[in-house]
Amino acid sequence: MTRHTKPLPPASLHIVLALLAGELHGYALMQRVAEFSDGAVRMGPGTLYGTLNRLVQDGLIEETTDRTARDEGERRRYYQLTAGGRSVAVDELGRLQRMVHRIVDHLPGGAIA
Amino acid sequence: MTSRRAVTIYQSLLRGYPRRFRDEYGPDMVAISAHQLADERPMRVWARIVVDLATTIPAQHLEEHMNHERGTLVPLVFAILSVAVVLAAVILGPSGVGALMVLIAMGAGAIAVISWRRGRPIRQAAPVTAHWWKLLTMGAGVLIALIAITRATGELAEGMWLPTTLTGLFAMMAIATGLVLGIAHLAGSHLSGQPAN
Repeated sequence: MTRHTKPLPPASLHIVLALLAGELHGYALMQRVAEFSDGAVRMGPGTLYGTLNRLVQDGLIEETTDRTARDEGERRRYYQLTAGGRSVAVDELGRLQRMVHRIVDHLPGGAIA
Repeated sequence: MTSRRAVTIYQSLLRGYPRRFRDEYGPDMVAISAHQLADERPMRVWARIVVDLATTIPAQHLEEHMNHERGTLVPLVFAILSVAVVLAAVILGPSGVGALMVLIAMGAGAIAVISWRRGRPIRQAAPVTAHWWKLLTMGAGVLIALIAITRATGELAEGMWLPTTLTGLFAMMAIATGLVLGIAHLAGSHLSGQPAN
């Protein structure tokens, strides 16, 4: 059966996709988002933590309990997708992939110049 | 401007955020800005920070305000208002005021649905059959509204027979489709051993 859901807002989308590969702390998350978007998306700290706060409230991500002094004593909070968050992220990834395929299919010659 | 001074300035600018948000994420935001100021050109970082603060401080205050209202109170109040006005319109009987009250009830009902939807957290996508109750509720709602309107306005004008009949048919089809999807959903949940949504 087909599944329908509203697309995530852009900042939430970038964050859940960046977390698909595993847990990350705030700064690494910002760098991952910038890397995935070829530097086009650079979040400020307010955007990042505002979005993380909302995603935690919505149950899509969670802080990991294993927050030992792995960064030479610096206190860092790590975030990871919950089971529901992973499902949403995978759905979003599939939606983006299908969209790209359809766009390419509609281009003359079927390829980007 | 030294990096330490820049971080101190950023730290003081964080006072613009709501206290709860600042207490929760302030230290992490300061740490990140310090990393950015060390890794990138300060002017570029500051340009981004200014835009970030200008957009996220009002957004966080708005979210803080909305979180107080989040939940079921607002939709519940409007739903009760909607039902009460429909009942009052039915009791009043056929009149122009009755018809106006039905319109008000529909508006209150729409606000109840919208505020309830806005207050919901983002959830995992559900199969189409999980939405069966929406069709059932919508069909029943349209049917009740239709009965209330026809009772409030008395005899229908000649030109109103067709739209009224079509609306009634639409409502009954929605109810029937909702019932079919509901049975399919409950049967599917039973077979897969998953609880029905």
